[in-house]
Formats: sequence, C-alpha cells, structure tokens
Amino acid sequence: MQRRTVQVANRLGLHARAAAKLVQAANRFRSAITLARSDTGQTADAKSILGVLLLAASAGTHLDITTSGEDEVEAIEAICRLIESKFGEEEERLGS
Amino acid sequence: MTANSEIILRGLGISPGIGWGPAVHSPWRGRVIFRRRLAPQEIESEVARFHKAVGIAREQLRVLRQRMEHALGKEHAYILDAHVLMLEDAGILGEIESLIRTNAVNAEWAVKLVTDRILAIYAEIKDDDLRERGSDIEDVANRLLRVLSGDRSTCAFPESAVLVSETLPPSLLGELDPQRIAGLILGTGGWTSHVAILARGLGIPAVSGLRGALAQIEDQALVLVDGTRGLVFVRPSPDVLQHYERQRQEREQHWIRWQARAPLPTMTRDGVPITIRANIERLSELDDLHRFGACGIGLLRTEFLFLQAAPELPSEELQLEAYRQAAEVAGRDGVAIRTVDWDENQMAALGTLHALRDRQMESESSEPWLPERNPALGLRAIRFSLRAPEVLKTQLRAIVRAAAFGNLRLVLPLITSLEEVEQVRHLLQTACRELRAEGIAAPDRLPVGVMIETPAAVWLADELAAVADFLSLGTNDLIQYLLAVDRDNDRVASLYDPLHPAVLRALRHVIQAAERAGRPLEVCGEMAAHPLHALVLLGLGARILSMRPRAIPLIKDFVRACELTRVREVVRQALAASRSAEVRELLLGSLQELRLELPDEALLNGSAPPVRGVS
Repeated sequence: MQRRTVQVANRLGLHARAAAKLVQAANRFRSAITLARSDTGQTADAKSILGVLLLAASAGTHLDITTSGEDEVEAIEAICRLIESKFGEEEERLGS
Repeated sequence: MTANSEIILRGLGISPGIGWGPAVHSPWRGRVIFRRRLAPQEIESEVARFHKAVGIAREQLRVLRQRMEHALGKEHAYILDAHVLMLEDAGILGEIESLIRTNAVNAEWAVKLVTDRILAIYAEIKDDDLRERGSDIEDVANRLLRVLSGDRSTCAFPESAVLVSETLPPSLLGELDPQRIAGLILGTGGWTSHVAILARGLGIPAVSGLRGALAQIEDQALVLVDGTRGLVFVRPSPDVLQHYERQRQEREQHWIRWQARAPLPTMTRDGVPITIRANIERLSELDDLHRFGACGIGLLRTEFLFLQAAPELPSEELQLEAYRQAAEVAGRDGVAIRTVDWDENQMAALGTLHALRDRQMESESSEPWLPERNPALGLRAIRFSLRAPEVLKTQLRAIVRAAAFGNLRLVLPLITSLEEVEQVRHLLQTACRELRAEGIAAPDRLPVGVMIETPAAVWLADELAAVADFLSLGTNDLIQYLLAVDRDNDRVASLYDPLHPAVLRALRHVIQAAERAGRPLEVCGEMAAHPLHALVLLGLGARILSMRPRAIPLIKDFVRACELTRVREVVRQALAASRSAEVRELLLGSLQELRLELPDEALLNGSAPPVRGVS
C-alpha cells in the first residue's frame, strides 16, 4: 500500500473537468485508489466521479491518497502528479 | 376557452423571423415521474431495462461529445466527459439498481430518488463553483429518464416543430439540430441571453418572456412564432396563417433579390456612398463577410475568446491567431477589434473571475466576492480592462501583432472619460515598445476608436473625438443607458425604444461632434440593422453602418433606394418631435414620399433569416 498527501493547487479545485481527468487517470490502474480529505476525513473512490465531485475539494484542500494493488507505485505517482500539475490547467495560460 | 379557438400570446421577440409547426414541450424540465410498484417477477427485466438505458445514454453522449468538440472546441466538450463518467460510476449505478431490487420500484423512480439525494448533498457544498456542478447531475439524470421513456434518438425532436421550454439547459443547445426547429417559445431569457444569441446566429425565430403562459400551449397544437413582433399564435386561424404564408413568399422573393445584389457597391439614389460592415461574434461567422457582401468588420467582439478559454484567460497566442484570421478575411476593408466587454457576473459564471482575482487583484481577493447587483453599472468593459492591466496588455499585444496581417483598428467599450482613453493609449505604447524590444514588429500606428455608448460619452463627444482616431456609436448600450431600460428584463423591454426623441437628439449630437472633428463615425448597434432606424441614422449624417451579417443585404438594398437629401429633411422634422409615436408616424408616413418600399415585416426588423416551418 502507498500513501501520500497532496494539496489541490488549481484554482477551481476538483470541479467537473478536473474530476473527470482524475477519474480517467485512476481508471488506467488496477489498484484500488482512495482520496481522503485531510481536514474532515471524508473519503472517496478515485474511480467514481460522483465520489470525487462530492468531496468538494476546493483549492488548498489537502488530500491523502492511498493506492493498493499490483501497480500501486505507478498509480500514486500518476495521481499525485496530476493533482500537483494542476490538472494541466494552468499551463495553457502560462503559454502567453 | 374552447379547444379550437386561437390564442395570441405576447412576449419578447429575441430572435426575428417567422416559424410554425406542432408544439413540442421540452422534455428537459418539469418532467413528472411516476412511481410504479413492480411484481417480483418484473424486477430482473426492470434492472435489465435500466442497464440498457444507461448504455444507450452513454453512446448518445459519446456521439454528442464528438459533435460538440467539432463545433465548439475541446474545452467545451470536457463537460460531457464528466457526464459519461457519471454513467459509468459503479457507485451511482449500483445504488439505482439496488433500489429497483429492494424497493421493487420502476427504474425512473429509482433514478429520481438517487438524483434527489445527490442534489441534496450538492446543495450543502459551500464553494459556489463546485456547487453549481449539481446541474450536470440533473442533466445526466434527465437524459437517462428520456431514454427510459422509450425515446432513443439523441435529439427527440420532430421535423419542423416548435420547441416550448421554460429555459434551455446547456447540453440541449449543442444537441438540437437547428434545421429541425421551426421556432422557440421560452418562459424566460432576454435578448442577450445565451439562447437568444444562439437562436439569432442559427436563424431560429424565438419569443421569450411567456413564463405563465406556456401551460396554455398544449402538446402538438399548431403554433406560429413571430419572433419579429414577439407574438405566438396557438392554433392560428386560417386568416392568420394565410397572412404569414403570403408574407413568407414575399420575403423569400425579396431575400433572393437582396442577396443577389449584396456584392454591389452601396450608394444612395443621389450618389452618396455608404459603407456597410459586419458585426462579428464568432470566428465561424467570418464566412458570412463575403456571403452577405460586408465591407470589412465594424465590430469584432472578443468575448468568444474569453468564453473559449474559461476558466483560464485566453493566451496572447490564441488571441493573435483569431485576430489574424479576421484580419486576413477582411483584407483591405479592415477590422475594428473591441477590447473585451463583459461584466463581473458573466466572468464569475465562467470561473474566469476567480482566476483573475488570484492573479490580478490581490488587494481585493481577501474579501469574499459578491455577485454584482447592478452589472450594467458595475465593473465591466473598459473599467474591468483597466483594473486588470495584465489582461488588457495581453489583448493589446495580440492585436498589435495581428496588425501585421491586415488593417486593424482598436475600439474601446463603455468609455466615460478622456482619462480612460489616455490610459489605454499609454498601455498600447508600452505594449508596442516591449514588442519591438523583443524583436517583434509593431506598426507605427494603430487607430484607436472610442465607443460612444454612455450619456457621459455623448456629452464629451467633442473632446473624445479629439483624442480618438474615430468614434463608434454603440446604440444598444447607449439606448439602455439613456432610457434607463434593461432590455434583458422582459417586463421593461418594451420601453427600449430607438426612436425615442432623447435617443435621436443624442445621436445627432454625437454625429455632429464627429463631423466637427473630422473623425470617421461608425454605427455598430442593432439600430443599423433595422431599415426604419437606419433611415434615421442616414438622415442624421451617419455614413458607415455595421450590423449582423444577415441584415446586410436588406439594408444595402434599402440604402440604394434612399434619396439622402429627402431623408435628411424627414429626419430634421423627426428631431423636432417630442414623442416616440410622432417620430414613428413621421417616418412611416414619409416612406411613400421617399418612394421606399419594403415588405411589411422587414420594416419592423432588419434581419432576414431563412423562413422555417411547414409550407
């Protein structure tokens, strides 16, 4: 099992597009992936868009990511990278 | 009320034209869901029916996503990714399935129960942006319910029918095939609402503001939508139908004639050349420039770029590419690019405001943002641009760079003081200097125009003309501010009157100020697209009119029929009138004397969309 804490860095938090990207990424792995809000402990299956959306994680929220399964190392790596890279949202603007 | 009698409903015309066909109530709102108890042996087949519906809905979304990505770009299609994922969410599907089994209820009822529960959780979310996503859940649930009702088409819309709906949700906009809709009847939504803009762009006649009256339109009843006058006829009498059919034929003939003559130069009967330009809202409209015979672009709105990039801001490169395309299509005739014109509430709705507050307005971002109570008088247009100079500079840099590809001008919206113009000029110089320092060519001169659309700008017109290279009359906002009427509010929209004596006198003052200063003046509001109003503008001395492309052929033909010396005289008389009714009477009465002829309907509205409906 892998565990890591990341902070939601993109301005809009886990809104629909970001949530969709996260779930799509999670679905590429066989491991079980859970997200938990560090403040409230509320957890969600990263492969369920509804669960992710209902976390209502706005910018600045700390999330504890847990992965468990044969590809748990790659999975936690990919999920954390996606969240830390602000779901690729901010690069578009930096292009200017 | 007998079952067969004609009913006439008066609303707000938000997209001109005539269409008729059977009424179809939107299945997206006000759906009544019944609960049915299942017999034990029915349960398995109900679960199977539910899963089949999910599969169909998913496939619909996949097709729709492709279509939306193609039409609106990747950034808009993402929302459908979330919809698809919801239909793949084992948690949601499992919960619905177990409800069907344990409660022995029909799939529709189970979908409703689960949706209501999720929406209740959503309602508790504190973050505004995240909470709004609840509408996506509703949208998906409605799609499922529609499929469950046995409706298998992505668009359940019959040929040439009239859509009746309280409002239109976003996914519906992308989904309906505009060719099939004869007309739109809406409960709410004003002239500048998203639906209205879309309907006008697609040429679908639409009437809004019929909130309480929608129930009077029964399903499948024949309805006629007159989007020009804002009228809806339910079960129109044979006389009414005949009248409109005659009008349709007349209109079609006129339209063929107008379009054939559109490429010809535009000159009044007494030889005064008039320039007719196009107002452009989206890049896809650039094709219309040549199709309808426009002489360049008198107003390129740039809000579409901000919409496209939301919630981020459009990059310099993205803007450059759009302006370059416009510059190349318009060629020598040129393009007037207006800096972004929207208000805080619109930006907040797209999420852009938050992006900005984080970056640009640090000093204010500690305070919570509250929706603007009076956006028309708030931080909008140039006020916003000057408050967020980085955003303005990016836009100016893109325009300056695009000027290498054509003949560009800059137009500033909602100016109320000389200082605002000077500040933009200063920023423009800085942008040019920086670009040159980066080794990028910047033109020596980029003409800067001032939109005259506030009473303050009217009374400063002489001074503004002195500091600007040209003036641009934005009649929509000018009339709104002069008459203190919000035309999006259907309860006061009828007070919005371009022929109000106060409007005529303000226009005269501005046009004369431009003449005194020797500056070109362009008119780029809706007024220019309306023959009767265009007559006033010409009579007052305007020589450059810019309008939505579809209105161009008609106005060109109208201008060619005008004898300007006589028009001037009629308008001189109209200026002395102290009531709108007198002005209107004078103008209408003079048409015969001016030897101007137009079909009845075109007199009331300048647009000429294709006529739809059963013929």
